[in-house]
Amino acid sequence: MVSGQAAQSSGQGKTQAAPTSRGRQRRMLLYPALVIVAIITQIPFVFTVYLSFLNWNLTRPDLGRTFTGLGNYVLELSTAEFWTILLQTLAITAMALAMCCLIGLGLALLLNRDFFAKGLIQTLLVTPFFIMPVVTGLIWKNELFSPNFGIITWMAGLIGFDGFNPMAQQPLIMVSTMVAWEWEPLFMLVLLAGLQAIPEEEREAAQLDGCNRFMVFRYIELPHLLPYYRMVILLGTIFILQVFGEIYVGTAGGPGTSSMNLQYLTYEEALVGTQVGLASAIGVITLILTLIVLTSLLRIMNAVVKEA
Amino acid sequence: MEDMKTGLRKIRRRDFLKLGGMVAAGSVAAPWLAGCGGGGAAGGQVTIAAVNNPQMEDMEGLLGDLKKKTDITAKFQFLPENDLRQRVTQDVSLNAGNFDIVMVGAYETPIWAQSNWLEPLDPFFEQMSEKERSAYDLDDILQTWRTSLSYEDQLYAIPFYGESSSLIYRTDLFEKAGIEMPERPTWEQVTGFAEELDGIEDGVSGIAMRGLPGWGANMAPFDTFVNTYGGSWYNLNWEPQLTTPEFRDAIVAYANLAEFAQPGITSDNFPECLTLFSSGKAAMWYDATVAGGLVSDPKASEVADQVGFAYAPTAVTPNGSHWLWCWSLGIEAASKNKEGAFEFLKWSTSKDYINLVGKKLGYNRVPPGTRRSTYEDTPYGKLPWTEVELTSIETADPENPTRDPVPYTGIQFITIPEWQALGDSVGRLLASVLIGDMTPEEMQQRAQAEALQVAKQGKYLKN
Amino acid sequence: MSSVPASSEKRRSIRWSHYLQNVLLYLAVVVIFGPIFWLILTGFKESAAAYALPPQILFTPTLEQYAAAMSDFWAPFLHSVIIVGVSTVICLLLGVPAAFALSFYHANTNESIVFWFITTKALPQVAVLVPLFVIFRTLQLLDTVWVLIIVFVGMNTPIVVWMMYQFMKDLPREILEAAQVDGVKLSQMLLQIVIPLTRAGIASTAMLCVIFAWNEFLFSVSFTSIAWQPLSVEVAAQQTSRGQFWAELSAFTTLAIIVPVIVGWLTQKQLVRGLTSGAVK
Repeated sequence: MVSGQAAQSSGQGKTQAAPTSRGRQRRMLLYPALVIVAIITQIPFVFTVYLSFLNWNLTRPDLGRTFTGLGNYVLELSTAEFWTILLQTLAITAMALAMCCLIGLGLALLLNRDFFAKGLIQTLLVTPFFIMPVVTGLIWKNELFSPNFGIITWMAGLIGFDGFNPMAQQPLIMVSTMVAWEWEPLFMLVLLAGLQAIPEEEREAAQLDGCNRFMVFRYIELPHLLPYYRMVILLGTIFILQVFGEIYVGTAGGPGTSSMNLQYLTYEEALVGTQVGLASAIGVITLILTLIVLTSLLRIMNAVVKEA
Repeated sequence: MEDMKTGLRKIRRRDFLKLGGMVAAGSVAAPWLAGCGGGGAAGGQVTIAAVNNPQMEDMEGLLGDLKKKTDITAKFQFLPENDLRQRVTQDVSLNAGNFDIVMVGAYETPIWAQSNWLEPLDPFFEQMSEKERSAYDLDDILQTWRTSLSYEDQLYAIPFYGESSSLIYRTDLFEKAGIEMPERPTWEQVTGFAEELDGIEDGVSGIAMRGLPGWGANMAPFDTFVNTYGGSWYNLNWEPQLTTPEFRDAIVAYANLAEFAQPGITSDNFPECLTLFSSGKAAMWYDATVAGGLVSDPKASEVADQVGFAYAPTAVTPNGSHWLWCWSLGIEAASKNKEGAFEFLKWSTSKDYINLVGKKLGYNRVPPGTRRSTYEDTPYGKLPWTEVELTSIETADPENPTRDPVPYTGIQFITIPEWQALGDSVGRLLASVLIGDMTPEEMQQRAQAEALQVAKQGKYLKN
Repeated sequence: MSSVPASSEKRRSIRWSHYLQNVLLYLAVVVIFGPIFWLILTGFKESAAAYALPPQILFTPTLEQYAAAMSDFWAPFLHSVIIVGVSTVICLLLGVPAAFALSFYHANTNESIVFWFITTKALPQVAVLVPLFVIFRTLQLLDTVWVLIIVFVGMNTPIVVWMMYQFMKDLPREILEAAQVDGVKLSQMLLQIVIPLTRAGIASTAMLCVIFAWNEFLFSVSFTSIAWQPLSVEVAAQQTSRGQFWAELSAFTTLAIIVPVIVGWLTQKQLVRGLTSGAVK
């Protein structure tokens, strides 16, 4: 189209034929990142797949490394607990994402106007995103919800709520709240950007037509926000499926295994059980699951965005 | 024009980052070059992977003494126990040699020695002069440790501090209730006491107990329950014994006692229980003997002068009723400075070191439980908890931890590499029982299945 | 309809909704920022006061916890600054041109390549831990500055590519193509047109790289030991097995989060600005 013709008709500058030089430019810009990322991520990945076919217990060198084919996969997939943990992983992700979508939207709507100390308030609301996951776990476990010394436990006691111990009683929900707390700032900022990107004319036109606040939201803001939701949900999903630090410090996967996710299970097998082969197999299974979730989400959201 | 200005601003920010990068590259080169020069024979630098317990942190503050005596610089990597163990296991099993000295427990030492991951220490001792040897006095170190830290009659690690388990209690609360704690109570008696004392004052629980799942957390006390109620993990044929009535007795006893323990018990390990007891919120506490010094320190404990000490309670048999644990120092087989490492080992476990801590920081802070001389020749021996501590350590026998003979050693753990995963797993089951999610029978079934799988996969069970 | 009473009614109702929204926001700040504020505050308390109940808001502050925390703080802090700084720069140098290549030059594989970059993050970290450890040990890179830099470049470049791709998709093609026609060199076009136009996106992407690298724990603890231990590991190391020391822990943690929080505070507006330019569609 335009580009090809323009380049061809240029007298000076590029001496080669246009498509090749553009192709070369593209490759020159792209390949360094492609190659380096491929080397750093794919070589260990291939190694992991190879290990997943072995029985290798790091602390039993006398047993050596034996080839077991799909043995690890069969073992893991036939364990009921594995499927429970898989469902828990999805549950944590879904709950956290839902909370982020709602809270982020609410905060973005509240912030999309001018008021006193707006900058300061926005800054304060954004802070949880920058906190280390292990610190979040510590805050939840010790500062807020410690059954004996936590502040919220104390507040619950004030209103007569004894035996308040949500970290042990509702661990999945607690993990989801930790993750939601950490990630809502991102949702808030992205959605705020989306709201601010709506042209004023559209709003004014709607108000002239007699729309009230709610209708403006439903018919103007929400559709505009859909691509933004898509972007931030995808980004969030990749990370939230793999949360570790919060669980590690907050609940240690417990009580029992009720707040474990696949990443934590892999950690237990790899570093506590020192069963490298089994852990690698769980890792590969997690990868496949993540890819399935990502592609499904992408397809759904592309459809939703297109419709709007 | 606007673009140019903003473009310039952007470039300045990126220049700043690039400058940082160059500074970084420069500072990378510096230590690399420095590394080329130093290091080498005894003297030089040693790196130590250690648990960040108070005794170890005290040691970090006293490193000047090491430098003076041996010209060695020591660098510590402190980590919490679980992280440390994982990090070090990774290091030794993959022969990375990132550490010269590793802090190992009574559990890992024989296992790692068997795989040649630790350096045998006897050759180093043989090289010492007569004078040095008698000054160091290896025989002063309690026999229990020398046995548990050896493999095939070779010593592989030296204890830095050691502990058993005991029961500490609030003398004032016992007085208030009009009950007396016998020197050697039974668990039945203790459960009765806990019931009476629970809630005797506002916010006070009958007992503080570990409930956090983990092979080194709730399984440590629980395993002593298993032993003293007559149970065991495997019989001599490596068949799991977790569905026996004795094992059930242990579960029920632990769960019953937990009814009078602190709320939220399943999130609590040693540090949480320490906080509870020191702030006056528990009438008793069953845990490591090391707690004695910590709760008696008026700077850290509100109940410092109201603490009594009793031996670990028993039930059916005294075997395995109190545990045995030490944090000891071993040399990685892949270390590049073994002579320096041994010098460090000698220094940190010597009588001189104990007196150094005693004089500079107070005798209640010396690393306890390793040397007889600590108890007999220093003011430490006069402190109120030390008699129970020493007797407990000396009578804890990891080779005979149960009523019936068993194919394994270890009191609160079993000395096989697979124990960590098994202990963690059973610990989680126990926590589920404590919060009412599971019955003891269910726990027994599931634990039995896990133990069976371990026995098969690890090729212990011949079938 | 009567004019004056109706409009002042409307103004009043607008004012009320304004107040209500402000109140909701202040509440949100208390709930969301409160725990962090409490953490910072606890760092100023003496040990016993740290876990006293009812929680002490008024107390005699002490700097002893922060003073104690400082000694353990500087070395790992420096390590983190270097590792995170260098890796972020490399991520940007690699990722920004790649994103431009994928957004500006037509090719069938562009969307798939962007997606591929993201899928490199789908493998759980723990699963690659042992393979990476063995590889780094063989290359003798353990506990050097380079091991974490390499890891973070692998971790964060895909994020740069993906995010910058979103930002760059909506660059005005006509301007760029006209520039090419006019014989503007590629490097000039990048430096003087593309980058200034997307500087908000670059700033916010850099911010994400810094945050993710700074807070990373698993690889950091596994691949470093003494010489290059970063701050995230040191925070974990402050938890002891024999005592909780909340006040000290809080002080140290506060120090540890200062850098990412400040970086975040400074660049959060950039993220909004970058996305507002309609780049997401």
